[in-house]
Amino acid sequence: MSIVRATTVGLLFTISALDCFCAQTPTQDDINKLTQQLAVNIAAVTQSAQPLVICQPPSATCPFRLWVAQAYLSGTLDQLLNNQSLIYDTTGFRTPNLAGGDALGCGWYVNVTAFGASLHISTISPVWETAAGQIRLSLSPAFNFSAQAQLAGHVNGPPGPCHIFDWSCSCPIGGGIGASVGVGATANDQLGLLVALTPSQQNLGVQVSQPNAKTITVNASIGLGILGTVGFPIPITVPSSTLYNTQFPMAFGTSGGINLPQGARYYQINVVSPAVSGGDNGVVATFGFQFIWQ
Amino acid sequence: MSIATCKLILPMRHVYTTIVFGSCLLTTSCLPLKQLQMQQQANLLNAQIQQTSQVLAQLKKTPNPESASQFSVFVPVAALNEVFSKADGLSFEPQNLNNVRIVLNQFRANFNAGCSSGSMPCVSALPYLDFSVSACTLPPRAGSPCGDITVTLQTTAYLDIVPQSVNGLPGQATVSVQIVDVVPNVQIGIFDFALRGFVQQLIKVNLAQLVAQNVPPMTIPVQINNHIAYKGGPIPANIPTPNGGSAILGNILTPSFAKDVSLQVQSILFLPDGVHMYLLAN
Repeated sequence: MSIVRATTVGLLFTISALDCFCAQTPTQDDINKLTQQLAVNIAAVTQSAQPLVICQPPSATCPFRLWVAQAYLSGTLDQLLNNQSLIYDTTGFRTPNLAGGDALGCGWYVNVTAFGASLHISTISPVWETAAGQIRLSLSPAFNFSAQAQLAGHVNGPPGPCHIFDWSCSCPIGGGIGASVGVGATANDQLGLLVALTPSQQNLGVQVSQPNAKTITVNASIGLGILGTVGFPIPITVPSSTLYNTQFPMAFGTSGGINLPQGARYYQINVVSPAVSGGDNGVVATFGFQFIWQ
Repeated sequence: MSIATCKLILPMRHVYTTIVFGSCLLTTSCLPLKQLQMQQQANLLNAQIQQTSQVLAQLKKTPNPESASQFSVFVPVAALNEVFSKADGLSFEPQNLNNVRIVLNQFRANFNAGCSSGSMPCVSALPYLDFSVSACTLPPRAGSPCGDITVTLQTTAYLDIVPQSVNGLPGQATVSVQIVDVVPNVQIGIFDFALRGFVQQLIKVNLAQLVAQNVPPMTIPVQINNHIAYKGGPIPANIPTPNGGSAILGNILTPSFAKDVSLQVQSILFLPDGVHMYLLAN
């Protein structure tokens, strides 16, 4: 019996010892070695990662930052603009577009009766320029222009009797002489566009504008019999204005929340002092922030 | 060594208690607390060595992650901590523990874990959190958060960001706190019977799981799916013709375009200033 009791106690002590050391509890020496090894790793990480730290030292005013590669921005604009056409949509005419006197005495006129034009954009040729922290993207898209117009010319008949003693051009004799002709023109040239990048609440606004008006002239002419050929220029102007206005992905939004036991709480981030600059082959937008908790 | 393992080794708890108390003279060392604390520290160091090695390998492959990306997003630490601060002081009472309240005092980003305070600059790039958790007895009266025993729980926690909101709103990334280890950090004297009983109760349960279950899920704004669109519009452009006031009337129509953009996270770096995400577009 005593042997059994002694064996049991021995077993229990053994188990107790096992309990304390069954997983080879690390010693302080082990901990020191691990600490040293970690310090070596951290020194190496510091050397490699330090240049990637944006806010040094970290502060409460450190803003959100979005970086978009220049190649991605211009590549996407190329995808969006290449092979696109600006179309002239004719809605009406204020006539006569060209008029003169003499001829048979009551003058003549030329009207444009139909008009269409398009400007087909190809390669956008992006050029990034960074100076003093400001970034600018200029595009010089080549375009192929074509226009068609239908002209109607008319030489009015000579003055006729509106009243027995009143002969005037208000009542010409006969219908006069008329002609209708189609004219067309093509041209190859380049637009000069500027891309403005404007950060705002949640968005990086991308505005493509043409700072200087571009005019392409179509020479319209029509033969008017005894008058010969008359003509006039039709100056088609792509005005200086914003051609495109869109927003690029920001990769971050402005809302979030936390699911607390007493109920979810949501926030909106109010963007403060958004700014855009260039660097590191990209466009950098920074956004200060204020949390608005609901 | 986990508590569960010990339970398997010695299912006869009353015998175990007697033997341990008898052999360890009723001090902190009689509980497996000291071992747990050492083990926790060793586990943490091992994990951090492994994690820093991974960061080094990543940076060796791509020293400038932006050069291999099309987008990078930086979320500052202050923004993360603003969200975390809403969970300050949350508490819960585990059902499987008697007279115990666990208080999540606060957790804050500490992406420089492992750096000694004197060594500047220092970048460990580890996604750890300073997580202050305590366990206490319930207060005798309402109005006070704790009773007369309070024990600090040494907690190893790190941040996990999944840039795709699972059940939330679009444009948000899920932020979750992963709890690796929770060990009471306390010295127990010979006659601290009440404290010993309290701590014994704590180390019998899976504290890490209990804490993890009660850290609230959070979201931060990260937009993975985007849409670029422009609805073509007319630009008034009458064309003047030579006769005074005459013109061809019309507009220049700019074309519409649309493009869906999906971003994929290539890598995430947790640097002292915040979370740096590097993304590629589809």
